Amino acid sequence: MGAVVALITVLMVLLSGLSVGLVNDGVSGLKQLPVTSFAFQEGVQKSSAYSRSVVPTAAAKEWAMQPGVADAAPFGNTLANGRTTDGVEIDLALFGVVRGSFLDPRVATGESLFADGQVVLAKSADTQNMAVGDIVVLEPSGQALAVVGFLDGQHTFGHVDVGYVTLRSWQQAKAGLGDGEALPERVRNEATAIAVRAKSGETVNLAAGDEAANMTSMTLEESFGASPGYSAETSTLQLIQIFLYLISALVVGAFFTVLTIQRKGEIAVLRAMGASTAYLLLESLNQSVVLLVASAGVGIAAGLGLGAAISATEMPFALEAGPIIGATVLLLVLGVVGAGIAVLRITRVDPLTALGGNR
Amino acid sequence: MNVVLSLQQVTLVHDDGEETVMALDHIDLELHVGEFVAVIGPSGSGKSSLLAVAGALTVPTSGQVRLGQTDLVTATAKQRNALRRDRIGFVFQSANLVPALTALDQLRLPLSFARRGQHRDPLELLAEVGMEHKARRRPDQLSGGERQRVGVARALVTRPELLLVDEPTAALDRQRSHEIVELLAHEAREHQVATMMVTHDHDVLRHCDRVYEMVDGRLTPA
Repeated sequence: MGAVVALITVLMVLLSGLSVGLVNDGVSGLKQLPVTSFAFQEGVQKSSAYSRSVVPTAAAKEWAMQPGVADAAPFGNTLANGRTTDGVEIDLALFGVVRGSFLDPRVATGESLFADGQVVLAKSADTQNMAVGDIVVLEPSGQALAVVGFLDGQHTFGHVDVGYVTLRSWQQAKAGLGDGEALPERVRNEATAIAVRAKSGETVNLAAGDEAANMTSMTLEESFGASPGYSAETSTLQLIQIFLYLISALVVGAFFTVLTIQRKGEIAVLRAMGASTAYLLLESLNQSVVLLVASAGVGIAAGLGLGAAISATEMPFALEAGPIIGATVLLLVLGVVGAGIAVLRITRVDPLTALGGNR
Repeated sequence: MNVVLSLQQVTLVHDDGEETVMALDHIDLELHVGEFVAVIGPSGSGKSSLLAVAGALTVPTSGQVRLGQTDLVTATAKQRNALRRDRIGFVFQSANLVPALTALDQLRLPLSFARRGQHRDPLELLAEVGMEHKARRRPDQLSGGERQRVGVARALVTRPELLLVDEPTAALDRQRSHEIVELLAHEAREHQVATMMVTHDHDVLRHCDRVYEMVDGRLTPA
């Protein structure tokens, strides 16, 4: 039984790591932005707002005037394929930002963006061999981006590395134009969304802002659902986790049902000796809690060990204390509920069966 | 002598399919302080039913059952539970020890749910029944006779007024049977515990003060 609970806990830790890893791989680039909400094109389909939305850059001024708004700036987002100087293929999520705006990232090595045609990259497995001065050429347009700096930490969007470019470079990439090709006037005033940052301790009335600017806002967290594949991935993993919790409750319940049936004779003797029902229930529940906690502890240790090994691979996997603690507590609570229902059988054990040759 | 257990005109009727069976048929019995009484009889004669009624495990269909001044017939289930816990000791067939506990912990177990009082020291009691050297052994590491000795000690640890013993020699050889019943007789007299033992075993009756025979629910002096 302890081994079963330990194995379920291992599975739960691994699922938690995979879940957090996938979330981070999908939206860590967004999480790193100093943004509280995004204003997208009015009426845009929310599940694909980052790829469908087109808004006028001038709307940033409208948002900047809204009460509670500290900053508002145009934000461009598009996925692109490129090739490095060494001829290595690289996929990038290009984040277009206005230089010097609150979205302009702080680099760990190299320099911040100081001109069009530059890119600041996240350090990752794909970019680890690249250096400042390398060139990334976007395909098929041939637009060249010079690497000027690198970011610390994970910055990914839709499972590809983020590359920060100037808004103008982003508009060029979005339009699929090569270097030297003129950017149409219409495109010069376009962005994916307006990024908004609320003042510290204040909230922005997004509905009022949307009405004033004719836009559709989402909080940063809500906007995660607008990134590619995010909802499908997280809902699938959540469903697996829910089933795992239900299975664990059933397994624990079934185990304690069998254990209670096996202990029927012993319980009859204890009841004959005057042990109260409350005493027996409490004793059985204590037993189940000790067993669950000890088994879950072993499972977590094994899960963390396995998780550490998986983290070293390219698989999107991240162990975070919060989700693991939450999942463990839920597992223990459901296990105790399952055990509690099972040990209620104690109340039906007749002490009379302790006499004679009944055992 | 002080009467510890008194049964007057006790009957116990229960259903057996479409028929009713009179397990106890107008039983009269008195047990006194320190007295060791045996009840013999064939299987199905009502010996276990007599123990169940005397031990507050079941309520008779009619008649009166008293433990000291306490009426067991009108007592609530909770009160009967407390009586079993604090004033009655049981020795079961094959000892019926808890498999996971050591001999010493078997004696501590009833103390964990007993009311605080003048209980006996578990280790001293184990020594008294000759089992102190195996205090740390679990039931599967003890012989049948040793298990039964621990079972006797467990029943006595709360200083009960009444000791009810159910076929204590059922799984023992002749020598061990005599030793166990001798031990029970000694404990009954030494600690003034009224003891009633039901048994098939006629060989051990010489240790008892009185012997009754149970046939078809009727109790008569043997």
